[in-house]
Amino acid sequence: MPHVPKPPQSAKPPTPLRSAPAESVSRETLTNKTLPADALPADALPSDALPSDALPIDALPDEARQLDSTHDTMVGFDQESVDSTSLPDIDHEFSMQELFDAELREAIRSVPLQGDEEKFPRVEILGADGQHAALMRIDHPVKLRVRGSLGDYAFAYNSQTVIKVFGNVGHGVAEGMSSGSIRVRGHAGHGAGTAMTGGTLGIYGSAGDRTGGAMRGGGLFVRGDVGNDVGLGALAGTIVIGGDAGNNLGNPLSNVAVFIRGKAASLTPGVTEAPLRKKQEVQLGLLLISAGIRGDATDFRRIVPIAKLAAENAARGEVVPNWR
Amino acid sequence: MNSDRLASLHLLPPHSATVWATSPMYPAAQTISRPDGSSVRLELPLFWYEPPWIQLPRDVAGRLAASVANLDVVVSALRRDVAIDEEPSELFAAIPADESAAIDAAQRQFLPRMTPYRAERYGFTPADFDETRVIDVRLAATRDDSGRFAYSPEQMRRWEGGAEESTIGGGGHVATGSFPTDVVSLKQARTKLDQLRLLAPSAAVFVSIDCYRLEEEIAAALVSRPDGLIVRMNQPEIEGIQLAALVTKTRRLMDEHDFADKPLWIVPGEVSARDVAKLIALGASAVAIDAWCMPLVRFLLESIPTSRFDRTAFNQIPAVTSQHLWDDIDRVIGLVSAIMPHGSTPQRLGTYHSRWAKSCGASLLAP
Repeated sequence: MPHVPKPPQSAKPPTPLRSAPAESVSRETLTNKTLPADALPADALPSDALPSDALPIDALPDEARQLDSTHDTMVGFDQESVDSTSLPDIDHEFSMQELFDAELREAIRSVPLQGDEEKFPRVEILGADGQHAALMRIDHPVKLRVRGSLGDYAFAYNSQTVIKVFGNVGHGVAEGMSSGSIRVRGHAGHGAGTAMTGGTLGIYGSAGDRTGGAMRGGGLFVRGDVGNDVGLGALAGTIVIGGDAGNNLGNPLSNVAVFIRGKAASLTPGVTEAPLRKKQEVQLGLLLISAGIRGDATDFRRIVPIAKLAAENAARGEVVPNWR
Repeated sequence: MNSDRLASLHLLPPHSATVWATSPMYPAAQTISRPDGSSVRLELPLFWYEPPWIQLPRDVAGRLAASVANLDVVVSALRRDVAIDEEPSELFAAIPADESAAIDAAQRQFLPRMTPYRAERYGFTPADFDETRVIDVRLAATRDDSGRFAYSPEQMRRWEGGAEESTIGGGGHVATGSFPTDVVSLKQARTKLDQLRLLAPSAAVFVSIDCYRLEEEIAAALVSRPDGLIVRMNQPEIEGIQLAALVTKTRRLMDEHDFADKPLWIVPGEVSARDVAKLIALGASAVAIDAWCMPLVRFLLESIPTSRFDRTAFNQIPAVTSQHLWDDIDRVIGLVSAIMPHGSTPQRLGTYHSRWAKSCGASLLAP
């Protein structure tokens, strides 16, 4: 374990940037996709309203853990936890309760890399308890495992880092992320993956409104349902929705690839549903495997701008980028 | 002929009975406080809010931005406005230090720069947070030159098309947003501003709004507790008297919301140096001088040769910029030095027109 200077007990991180973890996950996300955000009560969502897979696995009773292990999402999530690209043991352990955010980021950045570029040092982050704006702008090839839930704007502008969160996250997770991956075992609030430019964001629960808003690249997977206006203002990248979507799915002005397995309450004017082409089936199949999501790519449909589809049908879509 | 928009307002000198000789010269510099106790120092109450970088090649835009910032005017730009990702940028680089002086990283100086944080964040990179003085969270949709609430295909190619400026979003206009997709409510926007303060530890975080529906907009914007407010009053329909009234009203509303000590930056459109001083006397803390910088853009558009090897005009940009702007800047410094920092509007300004006095609270002088 590296020596990390810790402040005295009396100098704990300030509290204004913290909230109860469930407060950051919208009720709308979990219960009713069509509710406007303002209709949500400001009080915290009671923990019993959360599906069991929103909670850290350690927090579940034994019976629930057994049930959980049969769930395709969690199988994928947990298998990936012990993949061969990380070192077998925890190399470093830091507590969010004992370090200020800047100290924590500095401690992570100073984790020495292994000689083997394929193997990332593993770092365990303890004490996650709904902190806002946590673990942002980390540009270091390490594997982070965050035990607990985080508040809004976690992991903004990260790159290279491979992250797993054993809990929920609030609004705007992975804003502006450019590479690496972030996998969230629980649910995410509104605006997950906003303005991300690369890397992979996987939400194994459900996500709120405007998921993938203004996305400019990368891949975003939501195993469960998503809210309204998914892909609003997105320019490029891939959004995969394992469950249902709310209103106004898709963006008629973008190149973003949206795939959905369930139903959308409504599509944005100017986009339409279309079956996957063979090339996209292969592409999506690989993405699903990568995300640890079981299922056949043929179960999905794609949401595509009508103008782009017309250009594709005229066999021009891939060679003439000015499809509008 | 007087082309000042606020020509009917007069900057009042001290009463004849006061001892003028010992009156201090008030500095034009200002310090903006952040909630964490740190502060941001700005040398001049001037900024370039919306430079049309897209009209200029990147290298020329970068040189012009750095030249204007070198005069201590805060310049708004994303890194991708003025350079491709891998290239160095004068505006973003540390000011070269004297070779004999050993300066560590913490002491490096940077040009004054503000970062537009638009709802969509197109073109935004993490480097935009570094060493910026102001983060400008824009809560109002922006029109492009054609009048659309949209970004032009050229603009999108520069921001998102990479070095080769490939086509984005199918090649058409891309709609602007007016509210960040990852913010749920104005109250929750406070968390967003706290996030930005962490990401940009050297910057004050401002919110910018339009001047329409002022009471609602200001009340809403201040819920998020920004470090300052920017109000866009650069619509050509706004007359001088309306501009004065809007600034007065904005400051009054800020006072009512316990924001009296926070800076108010105004984007007024066409103004003269005297207008800038009068706007400051009315309650503005800084004023945009986009109108002063536009002739520089037009000059460069006309003088940039088609040959990439002819760098004459490029090399002259700092000198031309200084020559064009310095007189006006110096006039602002001079006029502002004579404005009492804590004086009231009637103490600072007078007018011979009752309409003006009524609109902005200036003293009504004898006709």
